[in-house]
Amino acid sequence: MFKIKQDLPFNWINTDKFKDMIISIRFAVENVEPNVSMNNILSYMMSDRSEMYPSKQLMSNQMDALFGLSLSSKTTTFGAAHVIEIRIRTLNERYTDQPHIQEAARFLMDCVRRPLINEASLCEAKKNLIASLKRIQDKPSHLGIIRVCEGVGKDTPLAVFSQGNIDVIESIELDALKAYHQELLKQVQPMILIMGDFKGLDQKKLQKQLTFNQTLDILPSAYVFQPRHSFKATIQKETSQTTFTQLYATHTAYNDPDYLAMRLYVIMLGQLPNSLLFQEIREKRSLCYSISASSFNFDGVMAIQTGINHKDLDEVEMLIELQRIKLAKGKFSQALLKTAQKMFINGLESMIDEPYAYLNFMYQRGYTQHDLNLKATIKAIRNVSKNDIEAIAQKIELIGQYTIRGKN
Amino acid sequence: MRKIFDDINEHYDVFELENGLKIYVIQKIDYQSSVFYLGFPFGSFDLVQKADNEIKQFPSGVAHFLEHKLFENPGGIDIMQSFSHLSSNVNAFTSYNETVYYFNSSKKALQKPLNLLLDFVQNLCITEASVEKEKGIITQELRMYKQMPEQRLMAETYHSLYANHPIRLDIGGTEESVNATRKEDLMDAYRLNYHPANATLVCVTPLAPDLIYQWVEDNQNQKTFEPKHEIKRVLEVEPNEVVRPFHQFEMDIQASKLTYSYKLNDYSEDPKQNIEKEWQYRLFLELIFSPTNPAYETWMESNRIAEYFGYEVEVNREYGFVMFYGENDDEHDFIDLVQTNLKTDLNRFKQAFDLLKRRYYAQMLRSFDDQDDYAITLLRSHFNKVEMMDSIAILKSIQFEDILHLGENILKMPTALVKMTGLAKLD
Repeated sequence: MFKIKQDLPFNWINTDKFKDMIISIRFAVENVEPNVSMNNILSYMMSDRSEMYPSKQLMSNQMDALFGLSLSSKTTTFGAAHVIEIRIRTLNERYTDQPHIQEAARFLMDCVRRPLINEASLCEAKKNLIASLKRIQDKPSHLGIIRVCEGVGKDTPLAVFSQGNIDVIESIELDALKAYHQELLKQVQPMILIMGDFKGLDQKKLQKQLTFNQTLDILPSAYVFQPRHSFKATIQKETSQTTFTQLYATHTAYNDPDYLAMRLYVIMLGQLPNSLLFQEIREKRSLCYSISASSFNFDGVMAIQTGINHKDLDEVEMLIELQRIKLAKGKFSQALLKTAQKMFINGLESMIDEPYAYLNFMYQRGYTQHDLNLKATIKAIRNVSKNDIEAIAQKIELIGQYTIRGKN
Repeated sequence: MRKIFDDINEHYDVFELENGLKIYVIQKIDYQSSVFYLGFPFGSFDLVQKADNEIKQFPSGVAHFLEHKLFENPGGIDIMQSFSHLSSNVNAFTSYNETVYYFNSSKKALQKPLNLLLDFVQNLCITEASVEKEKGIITQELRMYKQMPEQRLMAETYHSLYANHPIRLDIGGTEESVNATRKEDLMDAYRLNYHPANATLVCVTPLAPDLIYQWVEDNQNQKTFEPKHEIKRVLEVEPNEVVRPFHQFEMDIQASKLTYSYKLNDYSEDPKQNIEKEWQYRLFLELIFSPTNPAYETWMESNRIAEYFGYEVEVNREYGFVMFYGENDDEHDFIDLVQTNLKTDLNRFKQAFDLLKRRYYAQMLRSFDDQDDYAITLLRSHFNKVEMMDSIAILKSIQFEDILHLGENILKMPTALVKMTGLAKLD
């Protein structure tokens, strides 16, 4: 089992159940542009080349030499905060013929501190990020979510797409990026998560290698989105089905007492095979293949999305509304709530077998400074009642609709 | 029988019941959760079968349709809900060569969900009406995949490469074939292919292997089955040539894409030889068409490739191909890049070759930590009649000299170019 030592900003998770060692470094900044686009460019560059390894070939060779080390970086949104994560995953020294973890950590820190930032590397990063954004927008399900959040959340973190903005990316200049990187290193203390088997490892030395000299300053992250207007739009595309996306304000914060009831509400509505949306719209009427509800927990919003024939749109919209009414009026079975509780708990308990899921859990715990004690959380999930679900259902408010009308 | 692999700290137990059901149990005592995968070697390629000397033809997508219908409620029980009541997530997938039903749970009381898995998969319960009802759902599923650009590009590429092999067809079939599927087709497919002797159960669990075996045996002892049918996939002869050397189509997208593929003919009936051949191609292609090659960076600087660039390689007993994909608007330049670099003199890559083998070895070890990856790989290895660990041994055995001339082989093979453009951009 895991032994955890949390001494912020360091989180040491000692376990010998996996064959890998993972080191993850995460910087959080305010979720506004141009920060988000800057983060995405830096994220690309930090895992591309460094001053020490200034070509893709040298980077690749060094990673292979470190026993197939994998280096990756990504950006995510945590409500009002935007996070850039860079991490390595490499074989535990039990499976290699020589020690290499300290060298792997040195490699990681070099990528963070001294990525190769010049005109050519910036040009490449911009080109590839813009192409990636276009690919994302070419997928109707992604486009629907992006557009409805933009439409509803103008001038709030909700409207900021975590992977950046094409216009902002195009406008970023080299000096500004260099300054942003330096500021990030000097002013933002990252959270550092290390997971693996520490037997025989000089942890003090490793910690020294991974040290940044700032004090961890926790930025605001979770917030509750307050709608100022509703939004409704339809566009036409030559796609094979119509993608219908609805956005709702949950009016529930991440650390509210009824937060777990909100999560259960979303599961009952559209995250299980026996959830109301799946049963009523797919199973009983064959109107869709996929329909689901999902919550953006740090923003206080929820989305429902499905792919249908356009002629069925009015019927599907009405059926979605009816399911919400059922939950608000308590016209649902106790069995559905019990099932949702069991599946929520199952997901939490399984998390410790999935390294990245567990690291994310630890990060949320550290970053929000919110007590995410698993046992207490599971107990609280079990205590959610039918009345709690009804109360949540009554405060959820439809705030946006985006329809991508396809050929069918 | 226990199989032990000391050097990578792994082992699993293998059982076979009297009715022919095979069971693999990978015990991971320090894991909280368990996964159970029950698979049948019946996939989207099985459209024509020789069964007891009779030829049986199915509409395309039948394996996938059957997978949907097995979740039908026998006796009014909602199968998915029943799993949820037992704190278990159930799901299924159909691929080219197999159909697999699985569940996971963080609980230790697993006998009931395991019985439920075996019971619902071993009891097809459908009506004309329920088959008709499913057609609307599957049609929406096909349409959903059809509007995903990368998947559509791959599908069009297979269509260009293959005249007869069912890889040219979508796993779910077409809207026409789904609408033409009858209850009798599903019942025939089930009767021929779902005998327990065809089935394999793979579990990754903290529980003891003997206990799992006992639970499965107890379940199966309560059931009787018809005699097993001798079945064999029947395939039309596939010509060496491609169907469409050039094909261009439109989608409502911003980012145009293309593939340039070689249709291989050096696959064999021996699965180990195919694994070896695929590893050789993979090592060869990775040395040239990845950052391992210093030229890769110059291609990117000169906009000949972008981040969306790569290759796929597959060699199995029925077909083989090497496919390059990218976002270059100039297909002639893209073809030139591929063809020129397939002629690369590899001699300066010897050190990189050794490092690359180390990378792939690490990736394989890593996959043993993922319960789902582990179970699916073991299941597929079993159906492919190879030992899962053979792949590691084969990788280790490959020598630099084995891959030196692969580029020449590839260049002799017939090619297909497929371009996917935005609307109104067709030449």
